[in-house]
Amino acid sequence: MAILLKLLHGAATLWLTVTLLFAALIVVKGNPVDLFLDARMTPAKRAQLKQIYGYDRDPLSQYALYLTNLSRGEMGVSFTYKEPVRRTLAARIGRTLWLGGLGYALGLAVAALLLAGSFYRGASWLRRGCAAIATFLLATPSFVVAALLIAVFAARLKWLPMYGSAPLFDQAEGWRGWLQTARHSLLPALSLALPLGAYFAAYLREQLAQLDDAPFVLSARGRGVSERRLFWAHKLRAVAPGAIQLMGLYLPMVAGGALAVEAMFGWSGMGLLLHDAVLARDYPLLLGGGVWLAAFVILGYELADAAREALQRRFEAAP
Amino acid sequence: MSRVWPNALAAIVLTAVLALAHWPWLCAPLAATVGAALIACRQRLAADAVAAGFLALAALTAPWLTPFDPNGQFETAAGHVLGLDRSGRDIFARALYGLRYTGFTAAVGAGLAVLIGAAAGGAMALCPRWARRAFDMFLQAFLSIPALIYFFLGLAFLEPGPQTLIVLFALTLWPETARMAQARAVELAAADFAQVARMQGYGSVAIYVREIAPNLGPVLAAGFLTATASAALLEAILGYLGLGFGVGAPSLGRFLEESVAALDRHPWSLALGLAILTGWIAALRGLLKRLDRAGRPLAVG
Repeated sequence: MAILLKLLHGAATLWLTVTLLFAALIVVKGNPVDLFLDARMTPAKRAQLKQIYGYDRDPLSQYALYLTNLSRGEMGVSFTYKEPVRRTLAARIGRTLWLGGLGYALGLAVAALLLAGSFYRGASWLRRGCAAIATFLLATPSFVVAALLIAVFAARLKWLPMYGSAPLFDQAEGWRGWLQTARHSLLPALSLALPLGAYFAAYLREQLAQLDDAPFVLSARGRGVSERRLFWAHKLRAVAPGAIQLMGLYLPMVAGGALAVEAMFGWSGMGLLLHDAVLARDYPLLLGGGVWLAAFVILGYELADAAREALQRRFEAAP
Repeated sequence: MSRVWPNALAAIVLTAVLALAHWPWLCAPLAATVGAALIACRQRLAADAVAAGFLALAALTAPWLTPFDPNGQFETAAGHVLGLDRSGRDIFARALYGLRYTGFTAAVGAGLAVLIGAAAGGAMALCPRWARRAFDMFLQAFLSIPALIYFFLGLAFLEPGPQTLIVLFALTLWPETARMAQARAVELAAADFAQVARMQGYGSVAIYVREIAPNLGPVLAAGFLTATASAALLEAILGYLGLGFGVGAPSLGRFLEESVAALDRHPWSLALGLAILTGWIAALRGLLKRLDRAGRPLAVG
């Protein structure tokens, strides 16, 4: 029942999102065909094209038609690629998901390193160093990190490619295909991961510090539980639900960061596709891309929320 | 005092890395920044307020700080502090005017966003609970679309330029202020002074205008700082991607893109661009924290 409610909530949010995106079209009173076509085209030809693409109707009918088509998975035809928007997006979404997923995974690794460094009791310089790096990364968004990484590792040191992308894990190339994918993915993924890791680490550090005098921690310490076990088996379990929910809450930020980072690195995923769609004024593709990205964000958010609830229940039920 | 050390250490590490990477010219300005930060802390000056004030002053007085037109083309680099870019334009003037244009656009856009957010949040605070829940759902839908998508859609339809950016900032950055204003207004409506006004016979709207709205100042200021930082960052991203301002117009994003492209010829321009952007965002975040701490006495008790 709870899952059904979540699905309904997600579907309602997605419907609102589509309505919002469509409302933007009505607000600017624009007709995508007028924007895209050459001004020298005859009015008759223009009218014919509007009729073919369904843009000759009033905005409300267009909205109803869009919703009907969307329920069948159709999102119109891209002006530039001359193929269904769904097909154009499907060819690119995998690359964006790979980059976003790698960014999240590396972000968690960065957070773990920063946390391990900041809680390490052996060397104070390590704690301070980690705090300094975290402070720097918290004030440095993905886009700036990307510019720095391009400047240092691609333009100056020439270790990694500055622009462009190879096919993901090209089977024909064997291990070289994997290497190419890794070389092209590393800098864009790190651009997403470094600030994300700093945010995670800051949140977890604060939450873990608050637990120091929590009753269950004091009780465990009184029973002689070691600090290591206290951290892994008690404190981490207590903060895990919040951290999972945070991963969901950061999804729009990561999706936005991925759009910018992809366009900067020439990574041919959704970001570069939509950037080119702006320049070509390919409105169906922009609208479809927005809907797909929003759908993934909403799905990820609802999944993270469900996982948080499940973890919270397990934590509360634990003896 | 302890809060400064991480920053100082980060700057020192960065200086060492840059020195190792054969960019010794960057060491001096970084060392100066570290020194200034330490002195500011010793004097108990607010480093973030100083940085924000310095950047705002630089943006306001740009025409007096440099005699050169940011789009003017020159033949020799003599007399130009930071030299000329690949199109023969003065680098310092491009950076300064970039800060000025981006700063002005971001501040105006953020101001309008705060007005919209305050109106929406205030109106929602007066509405029944079901309307607030519906509004929350609308906000969740609005925020589930990455902000860049709205800008991509808007820029596909509207002519590039500062007016377009201001409109888009205003239309996309209001939800945060709306949420904060609504939450604060609901909290204030339950406070003793609002209850007293209710017992005196004032209606909801009168209570809102007389008792609640005047106390929303800190929340709106926080909304303005947040929206300005977001707007600056969005402009930097869009400018870097060649969107937003028109072709050739100086902006922080354009300046960063030009700097990365010409890294081999004049690497100092990238350092300057990044210093301006990160310094600005860090200063605004610092001010936000200060505001948050100062806002505590206003807590309803």
